[in-house]
Amino acid sequence: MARQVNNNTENYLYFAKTGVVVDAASEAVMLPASAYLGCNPTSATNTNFMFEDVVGTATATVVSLTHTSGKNEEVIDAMIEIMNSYNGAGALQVVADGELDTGSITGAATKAGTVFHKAFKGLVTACAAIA
Amino acid sequence: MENYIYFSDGDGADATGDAGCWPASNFIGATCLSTTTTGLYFAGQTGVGDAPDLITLTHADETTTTGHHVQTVAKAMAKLLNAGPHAGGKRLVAVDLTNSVYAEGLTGITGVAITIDS
Repeated sequence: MARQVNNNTENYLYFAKTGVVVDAASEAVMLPASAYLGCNPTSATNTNFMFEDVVGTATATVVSLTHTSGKNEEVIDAMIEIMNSYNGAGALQVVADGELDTGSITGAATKAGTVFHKAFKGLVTACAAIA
Repeated sequence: MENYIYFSDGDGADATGDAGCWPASNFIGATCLSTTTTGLYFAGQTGVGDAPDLITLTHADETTTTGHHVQTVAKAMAKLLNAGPHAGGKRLVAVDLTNSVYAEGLTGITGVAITIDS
């Protein structure tokens, strides 16, 4: 379980599900990059990324990213680039923030739209699930 | 060296669950728990095989304005966990409500609840 040995810097990955008002467990998560376990494509348009569980159980946290058809390898490459990115120190990397205006987010300081890391080059279109 | 992250609730650090200090390397992750709470998980401090420790932070409901506060907490925690080199090897206060001390980005926290072996 121990990470960040000898205080080496660590990137932390942020994911938020697409199309929901984030207000319950696992609808948005922050995970150390070192918690990454592996990934596998589940279809031409979806790749699952597994991490040690965000709440510490033995079952992995699975983040499902929806992407352009047939671009699984490119998305995997981009995730590796994000996890290994370094700009002088570790930082929070907003990998896939699908929290958007579902009609309930209103007001002057609104948050609308989605954010997907630039390393994906527009291939990722949704954070379909975090489970 | 290692950073150690400290949390305390608002009624003094004099009983189990009032406060705690964890190695940065034991940070497991964070997730929203409700509209007004975010949970931070650290590897449990009571021994091998124990459940993780949960720090529940209370904050404003921003789900209808700027988005859930969990992302603000995540940014602040990433910075604190990576603090250094001059901060390396010290106890770093994340939120201490007893003494009104907050790490950068965590000033919006109004409640701290610590559950050992969650």
